[in-house]
Amino acid sequence: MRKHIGLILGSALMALAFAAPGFTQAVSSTAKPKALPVKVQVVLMRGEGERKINSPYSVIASSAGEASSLRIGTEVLVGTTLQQIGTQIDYTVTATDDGRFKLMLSLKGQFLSPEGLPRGFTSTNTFTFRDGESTKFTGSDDGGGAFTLDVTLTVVK
Amino acid sequence: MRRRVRWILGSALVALAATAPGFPQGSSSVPLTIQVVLTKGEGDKKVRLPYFLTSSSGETTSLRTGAEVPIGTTGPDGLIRFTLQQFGTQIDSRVTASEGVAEGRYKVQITITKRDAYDANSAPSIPQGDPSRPIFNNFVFAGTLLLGNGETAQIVATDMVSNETWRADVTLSLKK
Repeated sequence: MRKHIGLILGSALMALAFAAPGFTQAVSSTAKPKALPVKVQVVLMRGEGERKINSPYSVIASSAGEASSLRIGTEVLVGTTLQQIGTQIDYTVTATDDGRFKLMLSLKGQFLSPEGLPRGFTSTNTFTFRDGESTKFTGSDDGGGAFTLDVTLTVVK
Repeated sequence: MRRRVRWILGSALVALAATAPGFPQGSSSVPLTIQVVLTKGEGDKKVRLPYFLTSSSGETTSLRTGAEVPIGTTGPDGLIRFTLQQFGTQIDSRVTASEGVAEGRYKVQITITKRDAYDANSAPSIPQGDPSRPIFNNFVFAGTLLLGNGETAQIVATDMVSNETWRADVTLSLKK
């Protein structure tokens, strides 16, 4: 009977030990770094004639690779139809093994030209940043107007 | 002999199940408050809207303010059709203490939706069409924040039509 109880207790203890968080698991060599809060700042700059317009956006993400999104806009009557004018940002931040961060950023902008016509652009990019780094790039919308995106990634301390 | 093996296997399975990450642990639920402050515009025109959600970690909390309003649109046949549209504020949040998160921080999955009737004074240049039909502007954020007790995450967005800035400040507070 004693042997019986000993066997049961032994098995249970072994199972507990294997499942305990501190136990070195076989997959530990590929263990992911702990998720960190990351701030992504995007400044959209576009010119309309002499006027330059800056539209700043700032979002927070987890570096665990979860998809997040931000939408802001207004329904505007264009001709006889209602159109959504504004910004759509979809992003994912993933920490890499070398301490950097991979940012997948999709930005769709719809705005009205000075003549009241809808114009837009879509930009989809993947960036690799170190903490505090930024990058800038220029594109053109479907009406031929230039826009610049200034993207910065910072780890929230 | 067979009975003994069954006992051993049973004990091992119970022990494994009790330590599995999905198994509800006794001390995992923490009472907390999520504060969301929505701020629209700047200076004298600033509008500040605070919301508080009381919850416990591991539970989903929702808040709805506003109403559903019937909005009429004229179809190609000239007939007016009504659809119900939601306006106001909707917040859904779920806070979890996750193993994969830096120590002392909680994972806050949150969706904030603010849908308002357009204020003609903020951007008079917008073509409004039928004055009886309200025009809506929307702010929607859906994402995962990692917050410690008392920490705030700020989301900033610019409305490209009115050039107004929207801000959402999300603060997590653990209850003592």
